[in-house]
Amino acid sequence: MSLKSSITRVYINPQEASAGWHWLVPLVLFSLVFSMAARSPLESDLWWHLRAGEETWETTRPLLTDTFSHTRTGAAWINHSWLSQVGLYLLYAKGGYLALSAAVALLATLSMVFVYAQMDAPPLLRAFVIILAGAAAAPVWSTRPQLVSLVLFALLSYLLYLYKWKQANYLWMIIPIFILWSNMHGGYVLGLLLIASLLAGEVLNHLLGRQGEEILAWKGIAGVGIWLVVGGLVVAINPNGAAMWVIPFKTVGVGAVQDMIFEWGSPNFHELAQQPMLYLLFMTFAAASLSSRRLDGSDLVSVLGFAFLAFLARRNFGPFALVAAPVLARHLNFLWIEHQSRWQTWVQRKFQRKEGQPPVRNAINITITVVLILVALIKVYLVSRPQLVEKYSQEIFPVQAAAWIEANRPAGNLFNDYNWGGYLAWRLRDFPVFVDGRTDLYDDVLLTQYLRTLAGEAGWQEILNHFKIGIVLVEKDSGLDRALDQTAGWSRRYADKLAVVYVRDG
Amino acid sequence: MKEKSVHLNGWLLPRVQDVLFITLFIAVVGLGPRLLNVDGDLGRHLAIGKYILTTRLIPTQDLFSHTMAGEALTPHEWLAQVAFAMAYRLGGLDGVVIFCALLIAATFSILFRQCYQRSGMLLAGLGFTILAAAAASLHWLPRPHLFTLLFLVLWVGELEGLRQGTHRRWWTLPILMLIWVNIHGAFIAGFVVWGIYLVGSLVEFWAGKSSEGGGFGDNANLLPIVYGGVLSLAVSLINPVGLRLWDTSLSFLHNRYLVGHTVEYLSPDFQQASSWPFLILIVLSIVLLGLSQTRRSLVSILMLAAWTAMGLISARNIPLYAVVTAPILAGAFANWIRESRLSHGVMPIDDRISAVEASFRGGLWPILIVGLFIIAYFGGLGLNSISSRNGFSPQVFPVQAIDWMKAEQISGPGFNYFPWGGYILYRAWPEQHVFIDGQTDFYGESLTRQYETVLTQSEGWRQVLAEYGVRWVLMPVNAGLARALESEEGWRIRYQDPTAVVLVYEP
Repeated sequence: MSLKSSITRVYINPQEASAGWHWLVPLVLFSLVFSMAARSPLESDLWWHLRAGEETWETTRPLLTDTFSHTRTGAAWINHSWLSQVGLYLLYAKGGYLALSAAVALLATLSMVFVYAQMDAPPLLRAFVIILAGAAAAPVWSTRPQLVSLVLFALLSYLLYLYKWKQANYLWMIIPIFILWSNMHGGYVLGLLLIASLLAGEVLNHLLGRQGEEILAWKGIAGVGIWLVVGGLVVAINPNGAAMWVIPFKTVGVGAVQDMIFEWGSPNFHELAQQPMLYLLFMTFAAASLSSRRLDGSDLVSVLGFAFLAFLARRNFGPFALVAAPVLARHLNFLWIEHQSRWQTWVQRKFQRKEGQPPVRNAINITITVVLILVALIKVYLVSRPQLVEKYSQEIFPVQAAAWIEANRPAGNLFNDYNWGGYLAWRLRDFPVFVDGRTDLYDDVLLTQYLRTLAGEAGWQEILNHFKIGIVLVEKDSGLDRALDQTAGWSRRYADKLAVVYVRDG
Repeated sequence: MKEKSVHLNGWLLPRVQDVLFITLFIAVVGLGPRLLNVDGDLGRHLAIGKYILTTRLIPTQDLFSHTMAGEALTPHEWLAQVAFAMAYRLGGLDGVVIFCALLIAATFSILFRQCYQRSGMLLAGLGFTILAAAAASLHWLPRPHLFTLLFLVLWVGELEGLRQGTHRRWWTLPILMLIWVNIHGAFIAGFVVWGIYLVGSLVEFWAGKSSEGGGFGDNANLLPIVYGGVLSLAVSLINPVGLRLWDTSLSFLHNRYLVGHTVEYLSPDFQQASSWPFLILIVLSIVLLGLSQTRRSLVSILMLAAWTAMGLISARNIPLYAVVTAPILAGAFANWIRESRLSHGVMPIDDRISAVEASFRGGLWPILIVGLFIIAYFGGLGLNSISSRNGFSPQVFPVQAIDWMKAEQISGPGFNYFPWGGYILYRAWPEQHVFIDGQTDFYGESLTRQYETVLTQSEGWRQVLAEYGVRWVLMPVNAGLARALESEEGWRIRYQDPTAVVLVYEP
């Protein structure tokens, strides 16, 4: 028996699937997802999260004032991710890069498990959709608390699915989910939007006169509305208290965020990595328009709503993928059922089954599964090797420049590149940063000053003087590098391929 | 007597299409100053158009830059440039604005007809035409692509007519293509649409054949599409440079560096309000596909998917997306209304408006209004305030700097800010030649990289200036290059105003 026919047979035969083969597809699939998600921990923000986690762990109090920068030192900081930071720090302290990489892969896989559980479709279709959704969500799989948001979002989505499509009510879990969420990450607002989209979608179903057991009755809709309010209220149970309600608006309200942070910008579909989001969107609506079943109101509202958010900011690719995947699977399944006889005839002709030899088939399938699991584990080990992580770190962070500052200890405050702020906050403990990834802490005024100075635009000298900057650590060939190079009173004391360090004379 | 009065009213009262035309015309004329000052390419088009009108020659070698002088130039917009230059001769920049207003108003009036015919519902046709106009407005610039919008609307209309069998005029396609291919490089969009119609019609035919048992020759609607498209392909070679036109148009799209450095080729930024009408159209298409029980034709689904993808990949394609998809969406919307409970309330109103509309002949009011507007515009009858604003703004372009350069007779090879290249040609060519201008498909990656090297003072920037023997530099007043050159030996600032700075090399 060929390998191809061995695998295909499992997918196309529901009787066999229910007779013990059902474990194979998910196992193979999630090994692949785990492999896709295993990556080196190289995010700049990771480092300030680690430092905050360390301080919280050591002082046994959540860090709620700024201690990393000299521009905001002592200011109140709504630290919405304090619990995730502790988790990240403990993982790093106990297991190094390997633990961080494995955690990312596991959390990303877990989010896809919840999506898989929402799919009423043959395993092959489910697997296809999960891979597509994984590719769409992959840009946001990173070693940061927002990955926890993604898992909680997927869990909430699963609960809402059970409520609407399976008439199983576990909505009380909204309380622990949102309490946990508001202590892990500020992205809880996505969960509230998801519940709101269910509400709006069900109202739409009624307005359109839809009928069916999956359409929530008005009483059920009211119940969801109450849980939405409860979810919103319990968000306040965290060390920041009611301030947590403000954080989503505060972050989005910082205009400079869109200018300088890649993930807050609109998608660039010239990049291959961002195209799966488009494929997922098109396939979802192509499947919906080609199948004879009309799109459910809540499916329509949630996919549209999260597609809209994804068009506004790339960081919303993850929630969009989690919402769209079950809808795509649902309509592919409708199409499958509508054309079942035609497909089955074709598949049977193509992959003519050879009876017998089940032990050989079993052995092949088990071997494939074991190999894939091993590959996933080897990948997570390889991408997290300290030598590799440090090698790549040197290409994206000013590792040598920071070492120079540490060794020579020049006087004055530090002006640094935004993208390096997190790394420097971890690495240069004695040199508070000018700015780092905590955009909600720094306001538009400071971030605009930062951008003008970095570009070497008119007024940069006044800003450096105002903040008593003595050390400048920025990208080589940046506007400020060129401006400082031609300005008396500053000396370029260190330079490599990536970074330059200027020190004020005298 | 009664018949006579109806007949007279039919001529005198404006149709919805007339009102739409007049509104768009006046709106675009009102936007004239904005149109002229968004980018500097118009200057280049006017300079080339004037050259063609004067010499009766279409330039196939570069005459406008000192960096690529004598290199093979693909004149893929020569007919549009002649049209713009003629409008300029007749009325200066006011003439250009009025010409653009007429083009835009005509395009969307024809689009309204198509939306109305496709949907059978006047309100849907009007609504989607307005949405399409709003989405396309982000690219309403006095440039040859306005012709592509018009030709695309006409092209899709002809193809749809062939597909539905409402006419057999397949020969109109090559006639349209003959003009299009000489008027703008985006004629390729026509072949993209044709490809979609061909594939969609073939698949629909195949699906139909399997159930109905028909043969290929039985399909009377498919063959005219094939004939029209194939002949158009042949006709597309009738241009001043033949096959090279295709090569130029396609090679630019394959160059990741150039595409990545041209703002209009980037993906739309949905945080800008100008992209929202596009987003609304996408949302509406998804809602209508999701809610309607009527299955759309494969051609419609392929057109929607392909053009949505193209619009999302490059903002430049959004206007094309808008005019291609508006009739499809209007049709889908009308179907959905008819399926829904709303039909009882909406359709009688629409039917009544449509009946009134059908009794009008129309056409008089647009001619009257445009005529009066032109007389008032150039006759100084109260519209001088709009007219006086139609010019290149000194806040955007180096108007005074060029005045000074002309007065001082600054000469020799220069280095100019890329967006000002067209304006320099408009004001100072043939005395001055540019380093680069907006025609990146001609200048290519190598020169554009050299320009970028100098602009950002990256490694080797001094060598680039030396290689081309640059004697003057014209930059925005706060450009880093101006500051860098100021401290270079031999360079000094000779002119500066709030917009521009001119540095001259005086060793």
